[in-house]
Amino acid sequence: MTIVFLAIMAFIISYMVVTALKSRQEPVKLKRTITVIKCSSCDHEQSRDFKEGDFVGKEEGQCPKCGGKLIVSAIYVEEIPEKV
Amino acid sequence: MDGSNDWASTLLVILILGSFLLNFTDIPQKMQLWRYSSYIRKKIIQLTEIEDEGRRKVIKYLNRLNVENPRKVLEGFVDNFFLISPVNIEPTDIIKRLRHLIRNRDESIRRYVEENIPNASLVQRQNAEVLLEISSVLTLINKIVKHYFQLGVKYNNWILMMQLALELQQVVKLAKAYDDAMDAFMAGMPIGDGAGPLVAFYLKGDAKPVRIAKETIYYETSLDGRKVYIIKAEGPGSTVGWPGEAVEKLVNMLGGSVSRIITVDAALKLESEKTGEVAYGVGAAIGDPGPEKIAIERAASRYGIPLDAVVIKMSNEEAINSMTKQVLEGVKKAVEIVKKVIRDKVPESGSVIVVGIGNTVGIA
Repeated sequence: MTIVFLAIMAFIISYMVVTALKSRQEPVKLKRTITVIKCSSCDHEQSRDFKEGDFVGKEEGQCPKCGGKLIVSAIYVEEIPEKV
Repeated sequence: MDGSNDWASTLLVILILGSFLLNFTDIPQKMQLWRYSSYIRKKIIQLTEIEDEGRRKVIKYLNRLNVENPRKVLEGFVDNFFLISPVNIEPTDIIKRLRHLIRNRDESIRRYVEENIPNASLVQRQNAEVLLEISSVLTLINKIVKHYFQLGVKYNNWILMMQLALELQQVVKLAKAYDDAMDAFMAGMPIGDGAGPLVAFYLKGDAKPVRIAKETIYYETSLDGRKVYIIKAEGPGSTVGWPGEAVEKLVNMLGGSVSRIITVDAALKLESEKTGEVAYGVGAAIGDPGPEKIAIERAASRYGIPLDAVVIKMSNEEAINSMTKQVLEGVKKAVEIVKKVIRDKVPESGSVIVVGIGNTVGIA
């Protein structure tokens, strides 16, 4: 009888611990925003970190390869992989 | 008396008493109510923290725009500017009434922001409008959760508490997504919902924009001998424009000689679907309450123009947050699909209208 009671209590306590652990907040993933800049005349492409004021279609100077117009072609966010 | 039977009779007594307790008292229901209400209380604290964080972000942004009393501007907006739906038991001209109410509301918000943030550019004011709206939504979510929680406590309604507790994980996740979305609008970054405008941007080439409706532009370009008219909202500020009115105007301008209308938009994915998947179908891919969508459908059906839809799949959180790489890959796939549709289904020397539906924040 005592053994049955202890077994039931052990089950209830371990269930509560597992539920409490599951409901803990997920770890926050680190993200990085990338701005992709392409030349409108050749296939030159470069990426850099996003800076305020960037928007898709913004002109970013001259292409170092052909002198054509450099335009922001994409801005996206990617997750930074965790260091092992 | 045989001692070995004691445990059996004890067990029997426990079973009978337990059965009475479960079936003839409300102790189990009270225990459930207590369990769920303590869970909901913890989540309400989390929601309040998210709401406060959202308010701090709005105040920080308004401070950057040199607003005199940002807290007062925020308080004056939140809880106000609600919209009462038009009467629907009499559906005659309901679209006209709904359009009128929506545009009234948008105009009031615009005037409120202009009066209170006079020294900001159009882009900054458009982004401020969205930030104020998000703050309003976070306050509303918190209020609704507290409303159902207090109703459940007041009437000892453990079923209502259970339903609320089971939904809350999704609600908190949504509130967190709205809070994170504020960072995108504060920085003026493209969001997932900008997939449609980004497709339009990639198709337009070097064409120059022409204003066709409020905060809406179109480009005229060509693809393999077909004339391509591309409509999108006017960025890089946060706006969705009036794409329905734009399509209507453009189709009328062209006298109805349009071979096809293709709408491109973000769509909610199912749990088993991957972000960035692209699907192709029929109809107006636009998630507005009705006026813009019906304008596109009417323009197409009046002249018998086939109406195609290309959608890029993503979750609700991805749609309102900064654009991810998977969504960007989906946009590139969608561009190729639109080009294929134009080449396969639009005759040479024919015209096609491509509409990039969505919020154009961060996309010129």
